[in-house]
Amino acid sequence: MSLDVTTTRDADGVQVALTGEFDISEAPKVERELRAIEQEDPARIVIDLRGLSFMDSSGLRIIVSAHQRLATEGRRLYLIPGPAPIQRIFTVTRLDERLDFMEAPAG
Amino acid sequence: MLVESRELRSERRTHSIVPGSRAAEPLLGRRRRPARALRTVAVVLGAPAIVTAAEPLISDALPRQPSELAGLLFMLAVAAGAMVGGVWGGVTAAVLSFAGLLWAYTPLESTQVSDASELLVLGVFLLVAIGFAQLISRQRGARWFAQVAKDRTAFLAEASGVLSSSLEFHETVSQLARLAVPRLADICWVDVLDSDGLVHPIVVSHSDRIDAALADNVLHQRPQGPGDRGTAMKAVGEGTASLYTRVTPAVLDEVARDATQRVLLQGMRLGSLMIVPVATPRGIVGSIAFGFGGGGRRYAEEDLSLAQDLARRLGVVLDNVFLYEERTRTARILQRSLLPPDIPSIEGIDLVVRFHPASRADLIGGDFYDVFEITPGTWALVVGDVCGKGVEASTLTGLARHTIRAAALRRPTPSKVLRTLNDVILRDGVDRFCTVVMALVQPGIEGARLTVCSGGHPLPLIARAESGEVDSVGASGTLLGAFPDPTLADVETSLCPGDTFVLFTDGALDERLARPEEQIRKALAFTLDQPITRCADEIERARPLDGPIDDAAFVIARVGPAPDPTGVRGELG
Repeated sequence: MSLDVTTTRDADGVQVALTGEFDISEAPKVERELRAIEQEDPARIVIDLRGLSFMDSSGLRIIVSAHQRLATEGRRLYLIPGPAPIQRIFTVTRLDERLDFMEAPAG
Repeated sequence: MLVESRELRSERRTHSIVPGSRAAEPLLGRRRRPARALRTVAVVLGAPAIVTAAEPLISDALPRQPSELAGLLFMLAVAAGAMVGGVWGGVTAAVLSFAGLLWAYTPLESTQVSDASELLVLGVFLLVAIGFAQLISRQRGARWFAQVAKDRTAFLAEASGVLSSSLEFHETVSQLARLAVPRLADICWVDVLDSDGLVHPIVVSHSDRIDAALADNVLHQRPQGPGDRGTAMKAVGEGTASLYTRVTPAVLDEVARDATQRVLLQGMRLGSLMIVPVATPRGIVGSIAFGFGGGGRRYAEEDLSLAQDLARRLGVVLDNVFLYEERTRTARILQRSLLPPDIPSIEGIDLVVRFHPASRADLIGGDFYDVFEITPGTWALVVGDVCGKGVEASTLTGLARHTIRAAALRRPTPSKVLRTLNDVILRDGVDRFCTVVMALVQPGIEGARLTVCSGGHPLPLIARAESGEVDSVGASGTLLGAFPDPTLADVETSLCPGDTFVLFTDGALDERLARPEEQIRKALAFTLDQPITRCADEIERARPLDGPIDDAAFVIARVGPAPDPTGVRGELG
């Protein structure tokens, strides 16, 4: 019932992997982490949703807010799609058209 | 005999008789049993008699000289007296034994003790014996008090645990009455002050020492007002605790508020009575009465302090109960304000709206619905879901519903209305979104026209009367409040008589439960030839009954049968 936030940094930029349940109780943790990463001004920020088993509107809000913060600076937030139930949230709300989904890196 | 728990009404004024706790160990009140008094007399008188009778036989060899054995017997008599009869029992045993010994050693013909040193020895002997009695009695008393103190601490700890196990007012008060019997009382009842300033008895618990019918009558007393007499009113009004060690006719006059209650209290044959106020940080909320029936148990000062301690704990717990009740009430009022007060009836359309508030106050505010007439013959049906929960979310719910109503008056297509709502949320600067589906229905001569637009919301479902097929209608759109240029499209479709459509929230964003869309599809197909209330019941049946439940809303509408050609409804089409 908790969320693991794993941040890895490499030459391409910063990747944040979320594993577990991304709900209202975990949202502040992710928000802090994302804001800290934005301060570092990396080449690219990627959120990996593959490990999520649940996401509620609080989680969705954190992702959309981060997307919009970066967009106002002319930068982009990339998302690696999660499992079908998670992706369904993005399709019903048509956020899949607005957010930048990318294919998972090989390996 | 313990009376079964019984609830007459569900409000705070609910009365109930609750069974007492099973523990039989009385905590309060020393019993003054006649058997014990007799025992004391027997030991105090009997022990010296035995000593006196046995002594001549034992000390034949040593006349006028107290033998060691006689001394031992003497001390035993004193100790027995002290243990059974307390310090006075011991002293009496000492004096009587001493007198007996003196009588045995002093020859009848001589009333004088011949030897002064012998007199001194006997005097010292008597003093030591009295000191001994005192010591034993104190020791025994200290142990008794230590045990009682331990029992009380344990009892209060248990009481705190039991009392805080519920956040429901009536349940909490019942717990207290249950706890009190039989350890603290043979009968315990609680009077509670209501918002009108009246004091009602709400709970009574009693042991088999009190007549059940009389105990039950406690609950049928009329409420007391500020002008009434009686100790309960005094406890509530002035916060005074009262202790009546013995219930005499004068006490009944003082305690009872009127003749009826006096008769009732007298009928119970109470031996001893305490009434203490229940105070919370927001004031006195009631009083608790503890009474002993037959059996001779009597309350003392220390019992009153225990009762007050218990009442204080109840007060603390009740304060939390009130806070919780207030919060729940506020949440409910808020929730009601977010929904339309009543659902209009639409000519040519059968309509059922079902809304389930969240099971917990902190879950309110998510879902909403609305049904209103925009222009004559054109109706708006709306269902929405605000992301997030609680009071924060509900502020957006209010904003959304009112914005939709206002915007619909000027911009008669659903997509324009939802675009306006999107702008309003963005300008509001709140970092929140919502999803809304809006449908316009225009009943016509044969069937109706339906225009649907979704802003990030699950699409409505339509069950066709003719084919029995269930399909979604509309085009999905962007959720509202996140982007300045949402994708929103109106989709029009025509409905035939008997076609049914459903707008619903599926909690897609906030619920861990299975999606209800499948359930709604099945219910629609299953109930196509039955009234739509049946369809609504069928959808509801699928909702889980336990666990914290998010709120849920759905609107079901069915186009009525083709009208009689002579009817007037055709004008609307």
